[in-house]
Amino acid sequence: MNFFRGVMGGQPAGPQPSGAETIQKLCDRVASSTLLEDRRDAVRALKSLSKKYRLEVGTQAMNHLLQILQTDRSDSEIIGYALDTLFNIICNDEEEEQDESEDAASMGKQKAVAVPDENPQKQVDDLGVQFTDKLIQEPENVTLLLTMLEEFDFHVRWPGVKLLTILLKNQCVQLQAIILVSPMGVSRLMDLLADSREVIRNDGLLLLQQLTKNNAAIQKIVAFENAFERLLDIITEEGSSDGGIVVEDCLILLLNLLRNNSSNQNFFKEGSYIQRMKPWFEVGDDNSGWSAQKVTNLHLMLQLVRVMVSPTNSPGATASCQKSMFQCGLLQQLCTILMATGVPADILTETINTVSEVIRGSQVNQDFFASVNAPSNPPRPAIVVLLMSMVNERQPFVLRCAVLYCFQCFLYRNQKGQGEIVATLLPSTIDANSISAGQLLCGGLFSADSLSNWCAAVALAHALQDNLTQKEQLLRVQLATSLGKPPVSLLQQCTNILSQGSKVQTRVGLLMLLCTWISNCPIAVTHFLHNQENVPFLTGQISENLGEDERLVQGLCALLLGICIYHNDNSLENYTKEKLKQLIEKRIGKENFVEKLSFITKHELYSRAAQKPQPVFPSPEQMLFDHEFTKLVKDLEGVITKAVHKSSEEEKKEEETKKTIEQHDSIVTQYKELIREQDSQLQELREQVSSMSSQKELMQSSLAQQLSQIQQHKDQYNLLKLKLGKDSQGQAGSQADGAQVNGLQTEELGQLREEVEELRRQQATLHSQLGEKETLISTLRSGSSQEAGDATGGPVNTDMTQELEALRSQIQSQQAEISQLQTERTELLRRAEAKSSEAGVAGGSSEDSALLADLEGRLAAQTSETDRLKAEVQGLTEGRAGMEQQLASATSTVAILQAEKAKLQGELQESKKEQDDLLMLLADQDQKIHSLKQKLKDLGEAVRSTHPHHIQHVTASPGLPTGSGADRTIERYPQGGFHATSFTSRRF
Amino acid sequence: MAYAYLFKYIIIGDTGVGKSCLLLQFTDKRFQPVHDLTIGVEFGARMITIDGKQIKLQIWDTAGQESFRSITRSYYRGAAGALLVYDITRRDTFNHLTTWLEDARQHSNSNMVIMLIGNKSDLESRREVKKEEGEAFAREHGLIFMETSAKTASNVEEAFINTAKEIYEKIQEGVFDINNEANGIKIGPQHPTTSSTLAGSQGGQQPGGGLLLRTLHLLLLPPSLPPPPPVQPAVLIS
Repeated sequence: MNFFRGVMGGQPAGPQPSGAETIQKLCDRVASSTLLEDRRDAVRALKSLSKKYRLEVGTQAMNHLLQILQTDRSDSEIIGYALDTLFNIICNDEEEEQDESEDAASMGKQKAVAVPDENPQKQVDDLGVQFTDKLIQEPENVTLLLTMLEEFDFHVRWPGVKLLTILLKNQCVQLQAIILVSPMGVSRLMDLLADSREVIRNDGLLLLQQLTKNNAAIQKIVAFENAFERLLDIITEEGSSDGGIVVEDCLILLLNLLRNNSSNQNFFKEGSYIQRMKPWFEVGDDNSGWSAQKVTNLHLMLQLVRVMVSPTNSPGATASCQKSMFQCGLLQQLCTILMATGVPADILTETINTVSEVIRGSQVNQDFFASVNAPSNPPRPAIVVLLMSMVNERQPFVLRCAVLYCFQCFLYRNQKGQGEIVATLLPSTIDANSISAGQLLCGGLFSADSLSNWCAAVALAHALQDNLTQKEQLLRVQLATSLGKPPVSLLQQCTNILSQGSKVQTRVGLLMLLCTWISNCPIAVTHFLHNQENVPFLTGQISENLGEDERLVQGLCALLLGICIYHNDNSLENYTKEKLKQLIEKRIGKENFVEKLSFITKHELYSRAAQKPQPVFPSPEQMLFDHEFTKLVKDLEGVITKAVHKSSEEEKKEEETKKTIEQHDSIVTQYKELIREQDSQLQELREQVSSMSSQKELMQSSLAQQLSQIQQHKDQYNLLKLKLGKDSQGQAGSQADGAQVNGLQTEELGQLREEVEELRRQQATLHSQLGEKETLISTLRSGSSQEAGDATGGPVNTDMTQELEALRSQIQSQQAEISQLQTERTELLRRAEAKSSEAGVAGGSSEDSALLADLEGRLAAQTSETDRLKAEVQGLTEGRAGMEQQLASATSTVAILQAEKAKLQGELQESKKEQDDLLMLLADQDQKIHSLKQKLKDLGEAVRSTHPHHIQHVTASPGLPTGSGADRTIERYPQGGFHATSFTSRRF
Repeated sequence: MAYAYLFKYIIIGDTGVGKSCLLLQFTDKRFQPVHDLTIGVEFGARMITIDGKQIKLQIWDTAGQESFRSITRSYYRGAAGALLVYDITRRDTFNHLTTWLEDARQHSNSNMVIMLIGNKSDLESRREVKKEEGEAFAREHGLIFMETSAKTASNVEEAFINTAKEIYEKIQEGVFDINNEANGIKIGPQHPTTSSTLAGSQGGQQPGGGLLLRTLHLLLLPPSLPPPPPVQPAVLIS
């Protein structure tokens, strides 16, 4: 009680208060003190009492302490004390109490004080669980504790971690559920691994170990929070297998995360963490003196590898892990340990088990394993070295089991490996100088050690598993037993030893080998039955009433006999199915036989072996069943029971039905063959059709393409035709580029045409005028020639007439030209029409029918059609080219015409001028005539009327004085003048 | 396999919208019409190439059921990208998007790229949510949007890859702190794993006594099967 005084030094001396009273007082202080210091002192005092008065402190103070956690969060010291106190009352294991307070020095090591408690240990356990239950009744309390971990202060975080760990230990499932649903709960706990203070990180590891136990959801979140990366880093930092207990803790946590959690295993594999395991197994040459910690670490590391490739995982997942283990060199590294010296037996055994599972069912890895050699001189295959250990009595039992497992895994789904093993027993491949696997197995089979017998028998059975070829091959093996005696077949030797009544283990092993060997292999059954002693021996064994120990052997004998019936091809007359069944009925009795058969599956060790492939036995005596063999029993028990129960008549009936079925089968086979043939034909035809139709489609598409091309050409042609038509219409008029249809040009052409028309009309009027004038002139001349001596008018008039004559002829020639062009144009039109009608003949292709026979014909037709169309297109294209050429020549002609026209216009201008001059002259002459007439009148001569309006008409040309009667003509002349200009330009 | 970056994704959304099918289609290129309910969270991974760089995607497919909501929340913080999935044939799954988004924004880091996905686009006849609605929702909340079909694989690749592109761009822009793995981004290993330097150890295995067995000599016969003709006896069993 001395330390009480120390804690409560401030209290007045008096009668010693009881623990409960003191605690009550302290609780009151915690609850009611307004001063933080007072509360802190009270909590500290509670803490120091919490071990001795655990029950009292727990019951009275827990709520107050939790209250402190909420209210006094700012003071890390009081929080630390509160957490420590809670830890003390909840923790059962005294050794885990690590008190860093001032009292620890006196309290820490004195287990003696704590252990001799009055309460039995069980009650103490209950206390911890009770307080845990009380605390987690309110899930908020756990959430509160989780928030404590956010506090960086060592005095808060560390006891917080410890408290949560102990809570998890006491009530794992409930705590996990609460932490899982509290936001960021798991993430926060994961952050502990990043804490720079090792103590917290290490205790964080322990906390996570508890947290991740059997809870896949939490395991996944922890993995998501980069746990693999973190833990592998810590392991590396701590020196891998040479590291201390921290490495061990990391490995245990990793195992927690990966075991039975396929999602995390997948993540581990996908994260390339398998590759990071490889350096763990790089052990040096000197393997002596491994520390216990190193052995533990390596053991866990090997287990971690095994978790990833466990036979219970999904085959795909295991296969991909096995692949990457080979690719990154992990398997090679493990094989190095396998062959290294000085490795502790424990580690060696686990390494063998690990290698087994890394190679199991993976051809590449199995092939690699077969190629591994022990570094001996001369080098021996690792398989041989391992088998030596298996059949060696002096090796530890677990190691021999491991080797057997390794051998089984090597042969699992490995026909190649099976063949190689059996081949070492066959004449062609045997090498007398070196020890082979086959030799070792045979040696083990017939050695004096029953364990070796069993192991060798099972190993040999695995070389035959699901492999008919090897079952038949093994029948060829003959053994020489002793001098002077004939050689014995391996099969014979097995049955001989069986009948010699050796140990149960030996006989069980041999019977399992025989059952595996002859099942599904009628030749082996025949070989077995050929030995006259075998069947009587088996019936004897089964029918005898033997003790408990022999029951399993009886069951296996029944199974062997059953297989002899079930897989019998009736090739031996004395031992047909029928006869064997009769034998059972007479000597054993059907019911008895079936009961004996059921002894196998009823055996207590049977279901144990059926669970997993690895041979694990608590003691060598219990080594009786092989995993693969249990599968065989499962397959055969039912069918053998059925086969035995069937009566001979039923059997016969069945035979008959079998025969009819076979007949039917053969018929069916024939039909099947036929169908298959037809199927292939159909297939062929279908392919043909599809290729044809695809061809057809191709053709059609090309046809369509060509059609559209033709259409295009037609369109172009029509366009050209249109253009040409317009061109030729306007050929007499002015014309610009022949290649383009130009609205303006058309307009111009129209205009020109109109002008020509107008000009013609004018010409006509001019003509008539000229005629009139001429007659006038001639009359005048005739009238005046006698009267006046002036003769100038005559020749001028003649000149003009000539000129006019020339003009007329010019016009005529132009007209001829126009008509010529017109005929040309019609010619062109005709030709174009001919072309288009020609093109119109090209139509679509003939329709296709569905018939295959037609298809080719149609295709040909289409092809020819296409060809024809192509030719047509060709022709059209040529025609078009010709047209274009013509058009070009026409255009050039037009150009020439235009030039001529310009010239003509000039000439016309000139002639007009001349005409004007003539008119002027005419007017002069008129004047003269007039004056002459006047003179004549004056002279008294009678003068004829002179048609003054004609003269006036003529004089009405521009620049001449005009009379009122000439108004109408004045209007027409400028127009006429304009027309004349246009017209002349068109003349040659 | 070496990679330049590693991105962590989560897939969230109501139950039955096809989250697991999207993942399966992306990782295994197959579609499983009948899929078990996801319990908690399942993991998947695949390598993609962006900008000529190998990028490893680690994807956690979460359970959509309400009862797992608290568990799936733990995955928001460490993810760089999230695929928020609804079912275009079930309007309620679209209506719940706001809740999902709030949850995601509350628990994730602010830079997390969220891709909105309208799944089952192959079931056009049963469509209840218009594509425009999805687009509008995405626009409103600053998400990338896509309609996919895990059944026909339409846009599935694009959904995952475009999300990765967005993250990649953010990295280039320096938005992400790539040295903090809590962001769901990790830079790939700079060097290939160091090769083993340890030489194979030597010294033969000592199987404690070696072959101390009675040796059996094997006599070998041609493969003519039953019954074996008499042969010269070989050596005896001692």
